[in-house]
Amino acid sequence: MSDIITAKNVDLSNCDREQVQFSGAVQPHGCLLVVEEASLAILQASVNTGDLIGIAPDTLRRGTVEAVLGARTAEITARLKSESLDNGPVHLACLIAEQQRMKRPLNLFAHRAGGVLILEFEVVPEAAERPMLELYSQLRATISRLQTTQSLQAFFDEAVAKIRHFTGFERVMAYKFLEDGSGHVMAESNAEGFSPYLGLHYPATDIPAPARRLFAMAWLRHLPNVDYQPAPLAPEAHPRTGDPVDLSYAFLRSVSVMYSGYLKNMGVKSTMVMPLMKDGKLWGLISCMHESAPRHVPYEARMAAEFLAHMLSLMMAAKEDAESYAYRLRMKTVLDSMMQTLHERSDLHAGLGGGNGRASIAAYIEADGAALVTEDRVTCLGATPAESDIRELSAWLLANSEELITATDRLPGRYPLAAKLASSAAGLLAVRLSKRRPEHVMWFRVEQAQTVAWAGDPNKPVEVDTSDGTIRLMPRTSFAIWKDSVAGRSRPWGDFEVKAAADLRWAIVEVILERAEETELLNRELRDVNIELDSFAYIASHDLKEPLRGIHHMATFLKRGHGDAAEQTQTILRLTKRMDDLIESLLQYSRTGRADMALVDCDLDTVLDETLLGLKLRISEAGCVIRRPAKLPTVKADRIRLREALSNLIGNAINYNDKSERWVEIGVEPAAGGGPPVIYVRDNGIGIAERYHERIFQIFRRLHTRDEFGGGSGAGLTIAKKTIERHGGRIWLASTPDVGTTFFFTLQPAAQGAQL
Amino acid sequence: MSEHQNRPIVSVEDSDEDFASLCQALNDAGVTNPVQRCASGRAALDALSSDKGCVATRKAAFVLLDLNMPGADGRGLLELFRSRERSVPVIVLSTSSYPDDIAFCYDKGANGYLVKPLEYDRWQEMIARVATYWLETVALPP
Repeated sequence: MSDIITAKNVDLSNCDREQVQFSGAVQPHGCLLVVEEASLAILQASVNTGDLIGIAPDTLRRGTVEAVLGARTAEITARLKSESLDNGPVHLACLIAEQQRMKRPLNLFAHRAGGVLILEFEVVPEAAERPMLELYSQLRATISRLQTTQSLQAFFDEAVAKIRHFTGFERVMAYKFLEDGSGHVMAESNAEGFSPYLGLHYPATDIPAPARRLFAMAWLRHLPNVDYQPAPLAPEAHPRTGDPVDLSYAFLRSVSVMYSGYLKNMGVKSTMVMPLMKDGKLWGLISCMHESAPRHVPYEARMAAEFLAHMLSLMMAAKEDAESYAYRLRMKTVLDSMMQTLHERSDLHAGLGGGNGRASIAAYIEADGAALVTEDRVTCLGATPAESDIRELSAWLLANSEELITATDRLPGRYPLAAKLASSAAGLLAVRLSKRRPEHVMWFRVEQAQTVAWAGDPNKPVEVDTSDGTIRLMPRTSFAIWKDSVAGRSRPWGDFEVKAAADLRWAIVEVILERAEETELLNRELRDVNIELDSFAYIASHDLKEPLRGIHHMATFLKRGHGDAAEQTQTILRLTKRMDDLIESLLQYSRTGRADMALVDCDLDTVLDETLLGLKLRISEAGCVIRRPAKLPTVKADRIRLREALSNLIGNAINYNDKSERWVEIGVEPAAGGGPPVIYVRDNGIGIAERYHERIFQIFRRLHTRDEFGGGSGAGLTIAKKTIERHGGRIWLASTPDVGTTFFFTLQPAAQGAQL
Repeated sequence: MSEHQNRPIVSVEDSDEDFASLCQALNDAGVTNPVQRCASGRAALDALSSDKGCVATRKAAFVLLDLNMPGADGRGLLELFRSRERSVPVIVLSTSSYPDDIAFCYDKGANGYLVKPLEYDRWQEMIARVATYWLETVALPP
């Protein structure tokens, strides 16, 4: 038996285990009977039955409940059978003195516990009762007011004010539990002259685990008079089984001496406590206190308050979910915005560090400071340790933690160099960005001691009383505000905050991977461009040198008087003209590659009309027939460049032709497989051997001498190809030497065409 | 002047100016051998791909081949020529000092590679040395 802790042997060392449900006594504003259910025989009675019911406990224990209920026995026993009694006290009747032997009106409640029935008789307070109708309309008004509040804080501010108004208590507080069992006052409403408790923190030992469990079991606990004399049960235990009675649900149950002692030391005379439940767990309490006098709240008002507590829990859970939902929603918005920036700026610091009104990691997770550490830079936002200390921390994390996400609310206990960080990093949430480099995203939370005002020293929730020579631990008597100076701990990180940190890591990894792919693609393109540029520069410089050398040599001969001076001068003029042509072609090519394209819808037939007009003279000189067998489509193109390209292709078709009857046909191939339209320029000219099909597109490459087939700088096809490629299309050819050539081209990418 | 003075020098050169410069340089070097010109890639191809052309070429003292020609470029011509005729010396003339070009030509059997300089005097000196070497210093294939 010695390991069972009850009011008789409780002290600080064991109050966590005190079995307050077996207190074996009741408060004297009522009396209690333990009744065998089948026989309705009275097994135990509180010693105060004589005062309230008018029958001594000894007498009661010899009979059944009929002795108490008298004429109403049948009616009440019938209700005992019909009511569900397993979930706490049910109000059965109001017994008045006229019908029974009792001295004053009593409310009768019954419930089942541990295989017996427990009947509680509660005194009806003498104070004038509010009519039920008024209670109802007040409740209704209160609930509709609460529903319109915008935040959880406003909700509780409103709730405590209404409850105080409604119950008449002098102090009403909303109290929230933290994960470690400690809690703080998040809202309060006080009568005039009461010092505020708002914001105060209470250590876990102030409301120990068994008390928290009991609070969660009933929607309302009322202690009308803290200074009561408990009325014990007689006998103390079940007369046959010897078990103590489980009074968990009994509202008259005598409370823990630790609790009443605690309240007395606070100067409280009466309390009423309602739990705030969320997801089946105790979330917090609504605590009502009266300090000027004891206060017995009548049953009807308690019912209303209990109902309100029910509603509060439901509404609060919804409100809190909505707030955390809003937080999560905000997180998602911030994350999206950061990733957007990261995409555009491709620098982690630019992407996550905010600036210019952009979202940053500081806005992502609620913290006092945030930092981004990479090898070359540290970005600090808000209250953070010094840059060098952040670097050290990052290096330490890399070396000592395998985890991708590190979340701690007590860094000083884990990190040997934490002393250097002062108080700005008691809490750390870190995301590892690299396997090999000390690169992290970090959030810091300050040591909570800086912000926590404890209601008394949390380390000494009880005091030692040695006045009578024996050592006894007492609930503390000092409730002076006490600031914790040793903590080294921060507000803990919520599960969804840790998850959000992981989400950020994924998002970054995704962007980085994507960028690696893009870089790879760019590199490949760049390599191609470099190869093209290399061969381009090679060919171009080579071709430019040739006339230059000729000029130089001719000038040398002129100077020395070798050969025919007039002929040499003529050659020099011809060569300078050619150089000019070459350079002009180069510029044109370069412009084709770089200038912006003005893409508009062009009717190809109209563009062709304009092209042919420009070639009119050459066409008529060559006696060339232009064939246009089909209507050409409308395409998205840069009109002027497209005309140049067409002009080059058609010009070549006219020139490289040795037939007596020349023709050029411009048409469109039937679109195959949803691809883009294929335009062709076909001739009956000299043809191009297959081995030259690539070479002809290289700049200044001619297959014939300068003077054959009308000459030209050798850049026409190169420029045409560039133009077509800039439209996203491609050019290719089919040719049979001596029979003719067909150039095909498209003006948009194949993939895009396939989608249309 | 030399035992090879009757054997023609074949020049594959499309540029009239360059051909004129070549003739001037040979003249200035005192070379009296006849110069036979293929003025286009096509002409050179004809000369090389017909037996008659090859017979003619085989008599040449050496071939000066311009690498940068319209139509079949010098590289293709060199390959084709070497596939038919292995003994006649071929000296490549080019504006290009690009290592890949030089390596390619030697790989395909060129006996020399000259980068055409801008100044006539250096060009003349280069041609003179080539002529001295191939016409006077070495014994040509019979």
